Amino acid sequence: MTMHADHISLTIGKKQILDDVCFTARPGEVSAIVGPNGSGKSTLLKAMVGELPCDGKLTLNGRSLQGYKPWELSSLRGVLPQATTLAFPFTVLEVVRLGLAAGIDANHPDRPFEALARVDLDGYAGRLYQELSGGEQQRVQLARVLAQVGQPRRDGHPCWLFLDEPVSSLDIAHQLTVMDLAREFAQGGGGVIAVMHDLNLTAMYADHVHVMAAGHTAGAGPAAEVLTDARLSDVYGCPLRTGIVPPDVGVFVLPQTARA
Amino acid sequence: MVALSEPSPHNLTDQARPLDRRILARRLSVLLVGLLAIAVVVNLALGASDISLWGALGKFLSGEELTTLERVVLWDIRLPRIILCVLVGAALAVSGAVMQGLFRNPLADPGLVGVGAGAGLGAIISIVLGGLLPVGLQSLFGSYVTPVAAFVGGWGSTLVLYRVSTRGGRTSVATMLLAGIALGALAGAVSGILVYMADDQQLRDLTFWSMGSLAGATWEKSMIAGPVILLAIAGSTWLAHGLNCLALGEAAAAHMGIPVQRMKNAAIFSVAAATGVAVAATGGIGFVGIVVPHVLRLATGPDHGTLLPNAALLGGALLLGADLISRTIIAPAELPIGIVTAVLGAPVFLWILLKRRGLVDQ
Ligand SMILES: Nc1ncnc2c1ncn2[C@@H]1O[C@H](COP(=O)(O)OP(=O)(O)OP(=O)(O)O)[C@@H](O)[C@H]1O
Ligand SMILES: [Mg+2]
Repeated sequence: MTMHADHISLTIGKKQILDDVCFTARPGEVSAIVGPNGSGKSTLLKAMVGELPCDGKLTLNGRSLQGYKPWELSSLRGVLPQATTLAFPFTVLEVVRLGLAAGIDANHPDRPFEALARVDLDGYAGRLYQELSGGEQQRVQLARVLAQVGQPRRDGHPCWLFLDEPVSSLDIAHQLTVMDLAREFAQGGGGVIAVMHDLNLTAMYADHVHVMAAGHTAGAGPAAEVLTDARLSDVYGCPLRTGIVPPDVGVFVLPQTARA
Repeated sequence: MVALSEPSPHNLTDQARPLDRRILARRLSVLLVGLLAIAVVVNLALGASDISLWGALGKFLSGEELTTLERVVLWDIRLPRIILCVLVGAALAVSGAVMQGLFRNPLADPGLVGVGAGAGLGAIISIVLGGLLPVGLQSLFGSYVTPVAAFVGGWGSTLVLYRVSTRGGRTSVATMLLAGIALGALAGAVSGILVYMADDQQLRDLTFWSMGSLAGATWEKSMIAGPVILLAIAGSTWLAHGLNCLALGEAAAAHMGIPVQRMKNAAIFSVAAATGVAVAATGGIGFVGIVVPHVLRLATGPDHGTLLPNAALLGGALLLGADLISRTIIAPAELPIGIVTAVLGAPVFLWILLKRRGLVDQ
């Protein structure tokens, strides 16, 4: 009952973007994919949800991904893309309801409002999506995904959230709100796979970290083992040190302080 | 824009539920049915000939014999024309809305992006070269040759258009509009060559057809167009949820359980069928497909579940209004209805562009 990607390779045009990547995420855990810009994080996520054709084997809950019907997958798995454009002036409520219709509890009248409340968007239901700020739009999209796949388990099977940079345009308080949601989902028995840029939040919330560099896996395992000085410095190409407060740094704020 | 109840930012516990636009849209449907009914009665009552609809109705109800004039004018001329007009108006408006949903852009309209021209080319080919078909085939298709050819032309041009302007699930609006211009020009050029080759009888058929007029409406035409258009409209309401999801992009729609490729094929097929039959029956009538969905989106939002049925109703009523103008403004002569819809619709189109320039510069 895992999300397993076995020896994934992917080329677009002549460019090899993923090279023999193996990735496993377990239910009950938050799995983070980190790495520099262009290292293939989004591409790996898209390959794992079947958006991009790739070489290799993908299994979800022990079944080959190809074996699922579209509507089976939509009640089992929610996908939050890195960016979403909306073609027509839908309201927030209408966007969230689209997700609801894809899930199992279609047309439950309270679900969209509950999902909006979970991402701290009470009272936004009647606003036009296109008139919201970037961070608000991102939270609406997350609410849509939660309306689709809100329960961490269904019929004894774990459900899955695939989130591409769910907190990248959020303020620090909402970053924590959203990561708490992810952790809650995992603790309920579901699986969460999130592409992350913020290493502090990753260290705080991820049970499993997968580091990407130039289309390869540069390390995978528990955060404490993977996020090492040597690996981070190497992958990001700048000298980085973990757990150190350099002398005379002035002000700094760690998200950890809010949950300490 | 419809006023929605303003959300109050302080109201965190009791979630202020906004007015559901689906309810508004259903109320609007009732209004539109009324509007359509009024338009039907007015079009039945008014016209070049001075007969009294009420007089005829009274006679009909009391079982009295109608005069030949009354029967011919009401039953043989006005009624089939009204039916064809409503069908074509509904077909144009719904195809416009479906195409806009498919291309994810409110400017996509079969008439503007070459689908109408492709369907027209098909129709012209069938008129000019139809005689070359084996006699067996000719008698098999009968009056269906032109609609079928128009459908094939419309379908082909929609496919080409979609191929050219959509890459990796994203439609480039600029490419779509430019490809539409090119397709339209190509279809126009080929049509021109065919017209040049046509003999006198064919030329008369062509002129009549290309004026974009409902004057040739007959029961037979309505009976051919009716089932196809009604099926296409019914089919497209079944596409509504998929089109809504598509507004978030193809990938997102797929993750919401929509079989995207099949849905797109069905949408293209229904647009081509409805446009093809409409064009075959009445020639090119522009702007209905863009104005009607746009007005409805402003009124009750872009949800295709209500947009498509309401577009059918408003499209039918609007085209009846346009036909009334075309029949009466220079009576006893008639103005081609395509001119009326262009005069009414083109300014609305420009207004959309003016208000939302961002649509094209993306
Ligand atoms: N459609 C495409 N065609 C060609 N190259 C692509 C395509 N999509 C992605 N790439 C390339 O693949 C590499 C990986 O892209 P990807 O989007 O996976 O990066 P990422 O790790 O998610 O980066 P970011 O942190 O900026 O989101 C990049 O070098 C990018 O230029
Ligand atoms: Mg990315």
